[in-house]
Amino acid sequence: MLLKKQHLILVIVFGSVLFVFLALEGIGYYLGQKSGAEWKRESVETSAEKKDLRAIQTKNKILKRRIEQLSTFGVYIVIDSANNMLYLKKGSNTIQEAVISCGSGNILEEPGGKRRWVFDTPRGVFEVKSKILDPYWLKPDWAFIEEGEKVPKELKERIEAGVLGDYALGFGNGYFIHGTLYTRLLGRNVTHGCIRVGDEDLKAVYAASLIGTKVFIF
Amino acid sequence: MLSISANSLWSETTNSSIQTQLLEAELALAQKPRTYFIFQVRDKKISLKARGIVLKEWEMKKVRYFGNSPPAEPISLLKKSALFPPKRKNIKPGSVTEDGEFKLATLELNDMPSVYTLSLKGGIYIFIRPQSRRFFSRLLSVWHYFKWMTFPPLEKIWFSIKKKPLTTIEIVLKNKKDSKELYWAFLEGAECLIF
Repeated sequence: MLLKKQHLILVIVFGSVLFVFLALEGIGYYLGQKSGAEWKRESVETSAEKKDLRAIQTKNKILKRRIEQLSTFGVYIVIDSANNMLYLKKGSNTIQEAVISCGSGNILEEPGGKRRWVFDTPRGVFEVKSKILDPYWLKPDWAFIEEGEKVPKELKERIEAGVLGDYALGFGNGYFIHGTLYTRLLGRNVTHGCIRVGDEDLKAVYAASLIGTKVFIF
Repeated sequence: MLSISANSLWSETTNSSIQTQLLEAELALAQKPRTYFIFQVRDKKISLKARGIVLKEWEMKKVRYFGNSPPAEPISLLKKSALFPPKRKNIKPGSVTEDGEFKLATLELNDMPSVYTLSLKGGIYIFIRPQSRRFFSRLLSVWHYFKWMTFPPLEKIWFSIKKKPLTTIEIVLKNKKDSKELYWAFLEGAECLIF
């Protein structure tokens, strides 16, 4: 008899919890459906009432043209940093594609914790700011710290030739698209933020790019 | 007959109006020197764009949405959350080998999660996962389905009490690679349009 009573209490408690849960689910579902429908009606009615169809369609054409005008430039470079690929494009056509190396995403902290560097390739819209033949590398502080060396005071001690390949395209803030000695690492994220390209591909990209050529990095 | 044509005219006007709002929003995004995303929920497509150019596209295999419709304006990504978020590695000074070669302990596409949530401004949550192909991932998708049917309505009540909008979208991408690529490309602070 006592066992039956306990079972009954359990069933009532479980039933009540289930009922409240389902009721809440129902209310939540109703609220979700209702708010979805309300938004569309509100925002559309207010704007649609004010203007007639032809005026809206004309405005849309103008807006589309304005967006298209933003992309009317010649050759541009697209960098896919996730897949380590470079695409040289004109309109929707791909002129050249190359396997590259982008930033490693690693962090370097100066012993003593004064400075910190994150080796990411920057993302966004850039443009070619400089074109350099036979570039040399002006080693920044992090290059010495990373190697466990003392940061030199003389400028000449920072100069290293031959490591950036035959060409370099600067796109701002000390970042370059340049050549590499480590061709077997192309396709991997290993750089300090610059974009390394194989010699032959770099030659083509260098030849096709002008100062002002857009560089899209994602 | 007259009412049908009036209705279709109203519908065309409203669609064009929505398009105006979206084009205005896209123009504002395209004028910035940044990449932006367009989630075309109806067309099942995600586009990564800059200056109006499509840089990359991902196909949505499945999409479900619940709650308030997202506003036709640029929405920024506040946070990406995953069970195992990628971690950056610290370089130990002096650990670089003589020829300048690194031990390849780097952050790459494979380190990105394939199941994660994008929390956007205005109470918009996008849950991303790849299509289930193997037995365990299919089993896991049952859990995702249960979660989808259960949590959003309860969250909606909570958000309604707080008088805040809530939009939950679940997107199933073609494969793990697509899912990881999207995680990589969509940076916190980046903006998008959802329609």
